[in-house]
Amino acid sequence: MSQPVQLLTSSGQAITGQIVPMEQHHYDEVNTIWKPILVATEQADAGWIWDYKLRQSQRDERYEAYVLDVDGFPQGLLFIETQWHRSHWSQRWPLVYVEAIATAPWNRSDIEQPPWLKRVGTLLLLYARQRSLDLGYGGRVGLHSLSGAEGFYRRQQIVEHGPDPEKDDLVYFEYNAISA
Amino acid sequence: MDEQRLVDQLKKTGNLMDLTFDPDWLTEAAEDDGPVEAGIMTRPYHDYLKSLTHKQHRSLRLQAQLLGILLPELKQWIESWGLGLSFKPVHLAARQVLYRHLPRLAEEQGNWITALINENSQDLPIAEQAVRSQTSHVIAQMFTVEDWHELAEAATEGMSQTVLQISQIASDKIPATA
Repeated sequence: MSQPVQLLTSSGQAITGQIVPMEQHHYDEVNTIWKPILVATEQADAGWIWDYKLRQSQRDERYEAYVLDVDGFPQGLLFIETQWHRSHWSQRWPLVYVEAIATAPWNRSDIEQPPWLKRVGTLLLLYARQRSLDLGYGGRVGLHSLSGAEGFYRRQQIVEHGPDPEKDDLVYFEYNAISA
Repeated sequence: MDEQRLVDQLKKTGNLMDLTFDPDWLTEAAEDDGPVEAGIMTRPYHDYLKSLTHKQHRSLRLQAQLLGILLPELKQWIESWGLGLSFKPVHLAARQVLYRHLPRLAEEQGNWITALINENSQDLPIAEQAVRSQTSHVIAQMFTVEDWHELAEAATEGMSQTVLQISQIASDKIPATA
């Protein structure tokens, strides 16, 4: 199962990629090439625990792990939970919950101007909404934003539910169902 | 996200991801996302990014540009070997070997990488990229005898796995006898 997508490079060129279920080799590559390998560094273990999420997706169908692959290497990661989370609205609708979303270091405009590939995060979120539709949840997606990313979600016009004490006071955002 | 646009896309094709092939979407894609990290587990990654020096960020950008050339060329080269079902394990092993070599290139190879990136920055059609056309030759020079043995083992193991899977599938299909 892979989902073709199109996105723009920093030079304005349209390029095709694939959102594919994450496999062990994707994790290995993220661990290698999302760190500088061309210069000698003394980077300590970065403490990423995405292998844990990958294993969850392999043994429990309610977890799904995806990677956006362009030019044969990972440009962004998306981990979702699809059965247990409920909407923060009083109706408690089922939704897709974003356990984690991250883009490669070179695709972040806060670090690199312009980013190597644009809108990797938007594209992965769009895929989370498509999965929500596939599952009959109407496009509802919930997530807890890191403090530095709240601006992005506010620009997305996603409903803001405020800090969540159960998640270290990260602000909870929720996309409503897509309806005509 | 423009919700009305999503509604229109659903009516049109039933798949939101088709929107990414819409020229209007691409025009809007000229805007940047900025940070998008969500989920408590992304904190260590966020902290890692903040810990990188400017030089390391520049290097990562260069790395992305370089891998965007080397990996498609490597894949195309290995496809030409006609490995069949062993392609995937050999391809993955070759990528790991390449990653091992990139931090310790010989001076000549380093100069070639610089020329490769400079050429790539000119946005020439691939057929006109003379330096890029040398990629498989340079990678072949990078790989040691031990590396080639590693790839050969990956090919053997890949083929063995395939045969064993076929054996399993075949035995699963044998109907139970009373």
